[in-house]
This record gives sequence, structure tokens and C-alpha cells, in this order.
Amino acid sequence: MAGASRNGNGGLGTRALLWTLPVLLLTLYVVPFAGVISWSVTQPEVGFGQYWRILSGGDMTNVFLRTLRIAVVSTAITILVGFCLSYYWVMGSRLRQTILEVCIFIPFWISVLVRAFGWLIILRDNGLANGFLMATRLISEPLGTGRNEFAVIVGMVHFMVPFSVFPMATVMRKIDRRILLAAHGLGADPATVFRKIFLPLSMPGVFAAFVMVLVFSVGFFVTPAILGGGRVVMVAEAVFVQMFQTTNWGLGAAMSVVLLVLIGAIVGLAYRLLGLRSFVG
Amino acid sequence: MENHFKQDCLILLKDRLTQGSIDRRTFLTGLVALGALSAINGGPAKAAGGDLVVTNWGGDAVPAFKSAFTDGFGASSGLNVKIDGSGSTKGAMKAQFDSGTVRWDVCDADPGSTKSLGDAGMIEKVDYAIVDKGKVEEGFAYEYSIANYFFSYVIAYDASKFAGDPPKSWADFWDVKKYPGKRTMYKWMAGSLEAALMADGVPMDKLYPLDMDRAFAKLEELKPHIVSYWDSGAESQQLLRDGEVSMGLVWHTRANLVETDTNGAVSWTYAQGIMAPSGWTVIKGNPAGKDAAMKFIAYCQDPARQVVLLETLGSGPANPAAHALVPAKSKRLDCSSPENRALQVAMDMDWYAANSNKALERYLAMVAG
Amino acid sequence: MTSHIKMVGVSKAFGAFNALNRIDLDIRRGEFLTFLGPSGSGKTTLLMILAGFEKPSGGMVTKDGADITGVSADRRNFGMVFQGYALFPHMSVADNIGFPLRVRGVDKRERQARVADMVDLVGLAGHQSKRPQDLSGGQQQRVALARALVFGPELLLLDEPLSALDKNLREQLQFELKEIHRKTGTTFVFVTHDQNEALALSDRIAIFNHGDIVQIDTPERLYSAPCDRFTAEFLGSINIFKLKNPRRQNGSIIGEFGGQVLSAPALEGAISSLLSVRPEFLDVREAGPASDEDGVRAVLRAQVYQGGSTILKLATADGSELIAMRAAGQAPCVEIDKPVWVTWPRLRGRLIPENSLSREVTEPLTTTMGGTWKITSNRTA
Repeated sequence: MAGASRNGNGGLGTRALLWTLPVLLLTLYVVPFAGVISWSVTQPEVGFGQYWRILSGGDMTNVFLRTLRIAVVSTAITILVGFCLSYYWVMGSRLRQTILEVCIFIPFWISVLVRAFGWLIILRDNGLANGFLMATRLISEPLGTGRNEFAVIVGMVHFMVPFSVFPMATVMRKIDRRILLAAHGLGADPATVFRKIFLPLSMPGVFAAFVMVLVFSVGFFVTPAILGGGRVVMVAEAVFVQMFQTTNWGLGAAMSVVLLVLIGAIVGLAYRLLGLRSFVG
Repeated sequence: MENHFKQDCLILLKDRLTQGSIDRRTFLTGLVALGALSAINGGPAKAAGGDLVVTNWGGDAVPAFKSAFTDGFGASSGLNVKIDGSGSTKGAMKAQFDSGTVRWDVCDADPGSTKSLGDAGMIEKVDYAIVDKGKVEEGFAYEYSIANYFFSYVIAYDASKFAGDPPKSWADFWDVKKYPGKRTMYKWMAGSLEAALMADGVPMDKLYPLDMDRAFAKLEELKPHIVSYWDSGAESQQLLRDGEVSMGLVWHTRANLVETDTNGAVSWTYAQGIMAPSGWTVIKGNPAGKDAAMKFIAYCQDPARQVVLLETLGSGPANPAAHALVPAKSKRLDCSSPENRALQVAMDMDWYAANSNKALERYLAMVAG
Repeated sequence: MTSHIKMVGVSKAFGAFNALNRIDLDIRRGEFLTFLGPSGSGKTTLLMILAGFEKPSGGMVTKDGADITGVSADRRNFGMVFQGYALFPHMSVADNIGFPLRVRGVDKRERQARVADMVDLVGLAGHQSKRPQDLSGGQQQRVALARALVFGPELLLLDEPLSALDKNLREQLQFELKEIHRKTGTTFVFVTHDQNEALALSDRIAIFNHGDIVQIDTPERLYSAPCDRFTAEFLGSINIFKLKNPRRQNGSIIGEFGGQVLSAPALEGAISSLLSVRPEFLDVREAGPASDEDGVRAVLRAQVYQGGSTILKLATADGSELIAMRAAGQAPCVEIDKPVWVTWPRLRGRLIPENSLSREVTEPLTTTMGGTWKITSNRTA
């Protein structure tokens, strides 16, 4: 009897423990976000006015379009560069892997601020890149590579590439080399092996990196502020302005909700396009 | 806007301490004057019994200065003064009031923001029985806040290029033929609309209420020549020092610093400058009680302390009696002195209280568009 | 059978390590050739060179007389079945099997027909649209086999294809593999470290040790006439008696072991002191050897009942161990720890050359002098 009751208590205790995390997550994420949603339709007055303002084609629509454009372009470039880097890393000799590891890890030690300033020094009109090109007479006028959207994308890609490498490299590392050998031995040339075997098998990693980098990229704040010359206002900064400067909390909340929905939609779309379902079942 | 200015002051103050151009006692006094003990206490402070929490714009902690504030107001009042450096933005103040648990007693805040919050019933009226209306420049004792110091939006320029005929007006600032080179302006709008209107020929005494359409049309005109809308004071300084711009609308404190850094290769003028106040304000339901907060504000009106603030940070005294105490070498920095004020226009915080939300959104859309 | 693939002086070095020492090998058309040896003996390396995945450090590989040493794997047109199958996890069974046809540009209709044929051949009907991970190990193995055969390769290379399967399935697939070999007539080169598998499947077995092919011959000849101690011990269990004072006598070699005179037919060349007898030829009894038998005295230490047979473990006076196998239905077993005779027909004694390619045997032996026994789990199975 005593044993049974102890078991019963233990079971209850375990169940309580198992429920702690979901309840915690619910409290920490869902409840506040429900608050955000309610703000978005109640402040300053009840209705969908704030959403209308975001979607109606005015300045807020532009902020979203700009954010999406920058996010998609920088994510695409990041994934491309990160993919090549991961491939080079995973497939390389021991020496090459070590060198690449250093190159991938060092940026983590440098703050986003310093990295943005570094790019500014390189890209601005009187910076290193334009200076070199003008000194070698390849160009006569600065290319206007600093303090604009281009510079922001460069800075963002540079920031995100090391992050994108890990999910992709992890998946690539798990691909059985014999599968690649098998494809080769069965008559596929290296390009076909890559296209038909390696690439599809890397897709789960590409997708994970894509989601991570996309979520990163819509939330950038410091890099656009420094490299954008003040012009490249993205959603994160616009939400900040609404929350802290103009105290139009309803608009800030509505923007957060729209951003979340947009990211969800893009991720869902990518999931379908990349054919990820073939891996799940 | 002015939020950013205060934060910038703290950065400057710390720079100067590390450079050795001021000693620690002066640094401390400067912090006290700014209400900047966040630098000392670190994290957010909460008023308990006998505490008074002053908020401002923080910065990196300097752990050595722990008991500093009690030297001043603390010693005379018996209150334990703590500083919260998390930043008294309009949104943060509104959030405190809305949540029903106000943690801050005295906030260093933008008078325009406080007015709009005050009109919504969130802010205590300044108790002029305790705070002395006579110890502040005429016109800067508001209903919901009172000026605690001044700073100016001025023209800084490349003196190595324009020394012969330096720019004297915003019309010159807009004239890229006569004064070639790129420009920089403030990302958070303050001062920019006034500058645009003056450039377009509006007389200094007829600026307010600002004609927004006219101002924005003029701002659009200069936009192609703006290499960057600066966000932090350090950025404005870097743009001028590195010659990325030949002229900029910047804070006079930063302008002064570039001038010193470049040995005068970059210079600046108060001509058509826009002088703005920062203000003390008290959120309704503050934990230490309204009276304690008002007494602190009154204590800070002491002219000698305000000169220390000028010496350390370069911000202009709010108390007119302080100007006489300013040493000769610092006269140029004293933006609120009668000589310097004569060249400038004072920012109308009531206009900002009523219009800044709309104007800022429009400004940011213009900048980004 | 005619020569199909020829390897001449093929060597492979990984840094200072010589994985293969100048291998000469002639693979005959249509044969089932097995590379057998312990791990690290070079058998897989040679297979990789055959497949074109590894470049030999020296030597030449020819097919029908043409040099193919430099031809890349995808152009050799050899099928290959990998250890662990290496199926494409993102493709269905049908797409896996059809892959070699697709990369060869075979049109869809023919592809489907040939895939269907292969599915029938390996008995996978009804599983075409499944993913490899939804199949059992045996079914995956069949997919790998079908995929390697679908394009009609002249040579099929199999790298330990059955090692991951359990015993019953392995035996069943051995039969199927043999059957498929017979049906297709393709040359099979099969790598294994499992001697039973090698004996069961192969037309010929090449025994690998330390980067050399020690001996290559039919399973029967390898078992009955190993050319050296390594081969003798690697294939099956064997008892080896080191004779004292070995000498010729009437076309035999005789010598002493444990006070008994033992003899075996002499080999050509030098005198060998190593006399070997397979366990299945040993009799364990109380009576001493008859006139046409040899024998030694020993004590029974343990017996292991195997169903079809019983394994007896014995020790001689000097402590060396012997192993004998008694078929079911033979006379009842003797008692443990009781002195007995271990006898065998003199004809079954066989000398093993002492000087041969074989170097140190990789696995530790239980004794160095006198008899030794070695038994693997596979052998007892």
C-alpha cells in the first residue's frame, strides 16, 4: 500500500514537472502576446484601424516592404554564402576545417557594433574600397556603397553567415559519405551527385538556417542604424519608435503581429517549396 | 530626442574622465547634476522607504562611485538617492503609469513628451511653492516640467574649406553650390523642421507654429546631399571629423568636441541655432511622494551646480544666475547665456507636445523614402 | 572462364602505411570471387580501387585488356553494394533502383520496365513506393542489390553487404545472392571478413593479410590445403602440433609431440614441423590410436553442445589446448577432467609450410607450442 501510494505521488510529481515547461512557455510567450494582440485592436480605439494603416499603402507599408525586401535578399545571400562555406568546411581536409573554424568563430567575438563600423570604414565614400578603386583608376566617382541599403545588406549578411553555417554544416556532416560514393559509383558524375543527392539531403539544414536567418534579419536594429545612414528604417526600429517615442502602442503592437504573421507565412511557403515534407513522411 | 542628448552627455563625461581632462570629483558632480547615478548604482533602482529614484539615460557602470549622491541632496534631505539608468522615454513613463506601479520619482525627460503625458493626466504639476520659478530662464517653467539644462542644435562646418566665408545661416547650410559637400542631419527630427523653415526664409521669430508642408518640401530638397541622418552624437562627430560631410546639424556639445579634436579644422556657430530644454518631471503616484521629488528639483536649481554641469558636459544652465559664474574659457559652450541666446531661437516645446508624433512619423517616412 | 579484370602490381599507400603491396589478381568473367581477410588486411582498399573510388599508388587495372586505372567510378559501369546499403533516403524504392538508369538518360518507360524486372528479381513487389527507412534490413539489402544490377553492369562489387543482418536472414540472403549470380551471369567480387560466408558463396576466395593476397583458390582447396599457417587458422578451426625433431621417412615427415610420434605426408620443398588436423577429424576416446591413426594424450576440459555437433575442448599434458568436433549421434561423451586419447586417421594429418608470405598472425593465439585452437562464433554457428 505504502509503495503504491508513493508511486502514485511520484507519478503526480512527474506529471506536474512535465507540465511545468509548457505552462511556463504559455505564460511567458502566449499570454504577453495575447496582450499585444489586444493592444493592436484596442489602442487608441477599438477596431482594425492600426492594421489598416499598415496595409493601406502608406509609410508603414513601406517600412514592411523595405524590411521584407532587405530580409529576403540578405537571407538568400546569407544562405548561399553559408552553404558554400559549410560545404567547404564539412568536406575539407583537417587543415582546411581548422582554418575555416577560426574564420567562422572569430566574428562571434566581435560585437555587432564594431562589425558594422568596420564595414562603414570599408564601404563609405571616402572608405577603403572606394579609395582603392579610385586610386587604381577603376572608378572616378565613389560608388555610393556606404550608408544605404546595400551597405546594410552587406553588414547583415556578414553578421548572419556564421550563424547560418551551423545548422547546414550539422546536416551535411550527417550525410553518409557512402551514399555519395554510391551515387558516383552507380554512374552519376560529381555535378549530378551534388544536385540529386547532396543538395536534397542538405535541405533540412538549409531550411533550418533559412528560418533562423530570416527571423534574425527582420529584427535587425543596430546594423541598419549604423550602415543605413539613418534612411534604412526597418520594422524593429519602427516598432521601437511607436513604443517609446510616439507612444502609439496600438500601432507598434499591430506591426509586431503583422511581422509575426509574415514570417510564419514565409516559413510555411519555404517549407513547401523546399520539399521538406519528403523528409518528414 | 532630448533623451538621446542626455545619454550623449554621459558618454562625453566618461570620455573626458578617462582622458584626464576632468577629475573624479568634477565627474561625480557632473553625474549628480545630471541625475546620472545609474553610472554608480548600475541596474534599475526601486524606491523603498527613504529612497528617491531619479531616472535618466544610464551608460556604463562606474562601480567606484557608490555613495556619491548622498553627498549632495541625500545629505541635506536624509533621503537615499538612487539612479535608474534605463531611460525615461515617453513610452517608459507611460508604461509605468499604466501599470500602476510607478518606480521613479524624478525623471529627466523631454518637456514636449511630458506635456502630452501630463495632458493625459499622468504627470504631477510642478509645485512652484517648492520649486522656484525665478531660478529658471523665462518661459521654461512649464506646467508639467521645468527646464534643468539646455542644449542647442547648431551648424558645424568644415573650417578648412569654408574659413574665408563661413556659413552663417540655414540658407547657407542648404546652399550646396556655395558650400559644396555632403550634409548630415538628425535622424529624430528635433531642430530639423525649424532649420528647414529658416533656410526657406521664415524669420526666426515667426517659426511657430511650424508650417510642416513647407518644412518637408525644403527638407526633401536637401535630401540628396545628406550622406547620413545621424542617430548618436558619436556618429555626428565621426562624420564631421572624417570629412564625410562638410556641414552638419549637430548638438553644440559634439560640435565643440570635434572642434577641439580637429584643432579647429571643423568649427561651428550659434547663428540660427535652435536651443532646446531638458526638464525635470514627476510621474503621478511616485513612490517617495510628490514633495520629496519637488525638493530634489529645487535643490538642483542651485547655480553653482549648474555651472559644474556646463564644465563637465557642456550643457547650458537653466538658472540665469549661473551665467555670471561661468569662467571665460567656457563662455562659448554656455548656450543659454544672453549673448548666445541672442543668436538662436528657443524650441517651442508646446508645439512638440501637440505635433511631434505626427511630425516624427512623417519625418522618418521622408528620411526612409 | 576467360579473364575479365586484371590487376598488375597494384599498390596503395596511405602516408607511410602500405595498405596494399603490389597485388596481382586475375578476375575471371562470371565468377564469384570473394576477398576474405581480417579488418585492415587491404581487401576493402582493393575493392575501392576496383570501383574507381581510390587511385592506386602504383600498378595497373585492366578490363578486357584495356587500361582502366584512370577511369573514374561513374564511367566504369560497375555495380556496387555498400556496407550499410547506402540507399538514398529521400527517394522511394523505385527511384533508388531507377537512379542508375536516370543518370544514364534511360527514358521513363524503359526505366519503369527495368525497375519492375529488378523488383521482381529481388522479391520486393509491393514495396516500390516506400522509403528505404520504412523497410527491414533484408529488404534494404535487396534494394541495394537491385539498384546495383538494374543497369546490367559487367561487374558487381559487394562490400560486406550482409554483415548488418541477423544470422537467419544472412543465410537466406546468401542463397538468394548465389541464385542472382547464377541468373545474371555477372562477375561478382565480394568482400567479407566472415569465413562461412566466403566458403558458402564463392567460386574462388582470395585470402588477404597485411596488404597481400596470401592465397587464392576454391573454398575446398583453401580449406583442405592451406598454404600457410595464417590461412589455415583463418579458415575454420584447426589444431596445430609443433613437432620436435621433424624428419623424412618414406615420403612422410615424422616427429615427436607429447611423447608420441606423429606423421603426415611430406610437402615439396623444406621440411615443416607444423602438423595440422581439422577438429572434425579428431576422435576423443579411451582407446589409443589404431594402426592407421596417430594420437596424443589429453584431458577433456569442456564440451559445448551445438545441436548438430558437439565441440570438445581438451588440454594436452604441456597445457596446450585442442579442439575436436563430434557429430551428433556419435558415441557418448567422455567425462570432464578424465585422461583420454585424441586420435585421428594418419591421412588427415597435414603439414603446413613454415616459410610463406604469412607473417605474425594478427589475433593472439592461445598457445605457441604444440596444439592450438581457434574458434569463431561464425564457425560454431
